[in-house]
Amino acid sequence: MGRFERDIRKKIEESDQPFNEWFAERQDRLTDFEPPEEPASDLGPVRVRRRTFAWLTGAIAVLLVAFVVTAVFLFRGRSQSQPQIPDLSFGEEGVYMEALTDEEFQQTLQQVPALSRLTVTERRAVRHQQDDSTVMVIVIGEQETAEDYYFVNARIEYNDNYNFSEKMYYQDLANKIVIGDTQISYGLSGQDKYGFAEYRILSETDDATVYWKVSSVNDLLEEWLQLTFGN
Amino acid sequence: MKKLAAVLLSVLFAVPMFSAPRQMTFADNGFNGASLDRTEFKTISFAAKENDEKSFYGALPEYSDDSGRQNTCANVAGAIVLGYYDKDYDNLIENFTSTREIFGKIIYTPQTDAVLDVMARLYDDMKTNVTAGGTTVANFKSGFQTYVNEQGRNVSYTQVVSNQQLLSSRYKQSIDNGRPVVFFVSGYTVIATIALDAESGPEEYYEQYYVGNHTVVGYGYRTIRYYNAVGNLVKQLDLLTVATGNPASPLVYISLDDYTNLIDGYEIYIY
Repeated sequence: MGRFERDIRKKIEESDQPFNEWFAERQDRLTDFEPPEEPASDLGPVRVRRRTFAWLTGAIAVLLVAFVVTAVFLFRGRSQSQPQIPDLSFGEEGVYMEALTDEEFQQTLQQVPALSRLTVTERRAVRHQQDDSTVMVIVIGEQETAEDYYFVNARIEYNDNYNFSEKMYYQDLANKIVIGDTQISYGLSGQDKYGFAEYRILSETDDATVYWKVSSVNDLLEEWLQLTFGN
Repeated sequence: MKKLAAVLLSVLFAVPMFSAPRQMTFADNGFNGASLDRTEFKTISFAAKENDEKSFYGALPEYSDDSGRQNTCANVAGAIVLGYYDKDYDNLIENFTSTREIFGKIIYTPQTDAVLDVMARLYDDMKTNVTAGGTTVANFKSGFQTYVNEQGRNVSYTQVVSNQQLLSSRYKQSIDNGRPVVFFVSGYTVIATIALDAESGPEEYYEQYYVGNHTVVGYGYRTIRYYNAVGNLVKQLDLLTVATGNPASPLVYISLDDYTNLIDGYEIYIY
């Protein structure tokens, strides 16, 4: 046992006192649980202590400024791009083209019987690069009547998320008619490369939405509309 | 040993300096010869508008390639030029006549397998995809000349792009003379030819920005100047009218803006 321990033991033994004696000496203090009373004193009028929130005020100010600045930038961004740019789910970069198979072409004819009246010069499938699904079929052809000769470009839509480059120009076409079960919108889009009047036509049925571009030598569009969508 | 290491390091660093730079190739990524990066809606407020334009009657043949071969935009461009001249020299495209007459109008004949055969020959002659994806400018010119010579004709090239800038007067002269111009572009802005037809303000249209290298054939130009109410010019659009080889949008405007990069361009004259 070290010296330090011997010193501690000595002090403990020196201070050792029978518990009864120790308790009797301190009984009044040990059993008294009343808090000490302080004499009453006048502290003056009652004042409400104001808790300051300077830090909170500053934080709110910073947040308000940030909100205003953000709102201004968002508003300006929308203003500069009015009207809203269409949601371009995917465009030309998301597709590839290849020849349409005979089977696919027959299926297309079932959906758009009017195409059977064309002398088809070109037919292509537009496929999604991600999953090779067909998003559009393009059929290009010509149609001859006794009175006119028509040049027809038809895009049959299979996925309305495909935004081909001219799709937006089929919005708000001026003329609207219904022939049979087909709702038709059309408008003059100018002249084709030969100087013939060219029309954009949007036709919609339960089976198909088709974006047409039609021009003809003698500009007999009404004849073509009736031939294509009538009966 | 140290000397040997020093010599080896010198050689290693010198090789990149003295090796021939890789030539740029032009191809199709996606279909339109490049990838669509983004589309932006544009508005031009104007009180008056001036339009100066000229293009070939009938534009150009709207050929495209569905053979399955990759990176063939230069081959398609070459076929388009051949189809244009085939109306003058019928043997340029064998077993095919590129035009016909309907109600007294000369109209291009739709492409047949004969045109696809031409593209296949150009693919070989232009050495497409041999050294890298696509076709270099040099191989386009040499391959096209090989083909034309084999068909008994000659070809001359006149440069219309210098230091990546269009030689406007030269290009207009080519159009006036009825000679198509092949452009090699790296990134370009497209506007549909059915756009820009507003008779009164505002002019509203979409611009599509493509990234990548592509080959197109010019057959016209258009300059539109927009003025405000007090006669000040507020906007000018300088446009090339081109055939793209894309059946979905075979004929478009390419805007000569800050985004479009003309790498090279040649008037092609077959005689």
